[in-house]
Amino acid sequence: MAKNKWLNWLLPLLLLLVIITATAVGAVSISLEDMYNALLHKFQGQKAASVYEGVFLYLRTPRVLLCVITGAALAVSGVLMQGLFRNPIVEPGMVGTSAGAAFGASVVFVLAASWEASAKIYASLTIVPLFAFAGAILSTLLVYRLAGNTKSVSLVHLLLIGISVNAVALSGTGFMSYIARDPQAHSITFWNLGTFTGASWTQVAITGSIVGLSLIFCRRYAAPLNLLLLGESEAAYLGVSVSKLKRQLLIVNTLLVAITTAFVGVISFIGLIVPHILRSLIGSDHRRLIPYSAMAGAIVVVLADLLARMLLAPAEIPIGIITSLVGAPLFIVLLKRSSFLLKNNQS
Amino acid sequence: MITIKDIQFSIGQKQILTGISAQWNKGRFHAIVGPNGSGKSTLLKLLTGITKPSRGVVELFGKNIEQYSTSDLSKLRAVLSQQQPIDFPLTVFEVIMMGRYPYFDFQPNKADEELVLKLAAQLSLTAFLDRSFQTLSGGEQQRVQFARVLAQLDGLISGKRACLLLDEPLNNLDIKYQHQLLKELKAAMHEDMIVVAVIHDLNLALQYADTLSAMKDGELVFCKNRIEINEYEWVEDVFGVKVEMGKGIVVK
Repeated sequence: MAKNKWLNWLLPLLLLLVIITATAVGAVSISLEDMYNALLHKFQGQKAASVYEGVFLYLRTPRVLLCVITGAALAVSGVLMQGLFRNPIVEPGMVGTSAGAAFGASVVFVLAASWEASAKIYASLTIVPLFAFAGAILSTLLVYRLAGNTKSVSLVHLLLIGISVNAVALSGTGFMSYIARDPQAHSITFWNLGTFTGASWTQVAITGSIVGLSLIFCRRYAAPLNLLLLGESEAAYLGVSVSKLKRQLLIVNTLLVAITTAFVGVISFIGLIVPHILRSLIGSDHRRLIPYSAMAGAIVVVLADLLARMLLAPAEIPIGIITSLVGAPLFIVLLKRSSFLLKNNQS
Repeated sequence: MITIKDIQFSIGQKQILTGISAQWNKGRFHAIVGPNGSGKSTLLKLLTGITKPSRGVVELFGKNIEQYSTSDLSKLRAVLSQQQPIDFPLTVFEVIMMGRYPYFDFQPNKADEELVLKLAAQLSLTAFLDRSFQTLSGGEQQRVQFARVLAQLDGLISGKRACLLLDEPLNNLDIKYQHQLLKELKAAMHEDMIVVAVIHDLNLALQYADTLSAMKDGELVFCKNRIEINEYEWVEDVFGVKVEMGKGIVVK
């Protein structure tokens, strides 16, 4: 009964292809032979034999992997949020997570203005992610706390309060970039639109382990999320402990968004558009939707980052500009064409 | 058997149910009737075990319903609620299959799929299986949901304890399918099964149900076997309208 089974092999294949392409293409092109040699030398414990191998091992690969992890995390988080709210237009950032992260990061950028150059570099690598993560968690907690008791979180309430807290965090970030001098203001802008420039193996390890674990965990939410589509009471009649499910989903979602946003900044539209496209292809069964969205999200972010690096090379465009610029019109086209949203309006 | 003892339910200051006691035996089809706002749907919600009464006890098959786990209950009782829209694309097959979710962890097995196909055939839904649920009419959606709750109770095989709670199951259905649904129910009835349904149409309730419970202003006015009901003055008491016998259409 499963629709479009060809995606079963197309998505992994496409992901592999995109990863190899994005690793090869850039200011310095890397051949497949260089990649092979680099891996060979690495596993044999030897040093990289050429600049190409070094670029491949320490710049390109971590960057592409970070893209993969971020794309998977954001897309799956979109699926979880939309399933939880039973609303296809919810974005993962709507409960305040990414706006909080942005505010946390902007505070560091402004504080660091007076620090010495070496401290600044150190700050951008460790303190920014830390503050961003803290900002993300704190603002999300604030939203949940304001939305009601922890036993049952009212979803409409949660969304409305999420919007308000987002607005406050945004104006906080706006104020920070207003009082910031130029290099810092520039950093804030860049961070608000997302960038993979500083990608390192440490970041890959941290985000990869948390996102990987969360995704494995998500398998057990697939069936309850399907039942939730029938409505909260129906899911309860079918054996789902709804308030427990809601709480766990919100925690997993916060982790996914907070940990990736902390390192790469705010990237919009992935969590909205990827699940939407997949639903139109394979329907709403979360047992397929979650893994497929993870792969598709990864593909989209790797490609977007490739564009961000290449379009104005050697300069880099913030990736958020690409995702919004391509994502928003694409989303509108999809909405116009998709039959299922129209049918919703009639019922 | 369902027994309720001195059930009260309030939302804020407003008391919806004011201390009701009743007993509905198994092997029978019980209809609850009453005017809008009399507390019928609320009473049915309390029987599901998910909504808890402010005071009083609900017993299902001789055990306090709060002692069942959510997962145990999901294999024992199914609920057909009043319609809720679904904002995501789901096929009819997927919706009916949701009734089987309490029985598997991740993927359904062959027997689950066969049961879904069998129920779809039984309710004349086979042609709809691959259609999107959202494209169906209200009545068609209602029949799909009915198939789903039957799937949840194993298609009502005899010998298995089952409690089926229906909140206005005949809404949106035309006269043919109203009778089809009720006949399916009657045909599936067995001695370990209990059906409680909120029904608006008095004629249908009187034609199919074994007992009639009438509610008014959050109280139970009476709870009688259908065959004991010969007089119809109570309709005026409960609903505030005068009725007359022997007119209208009766489906055979």
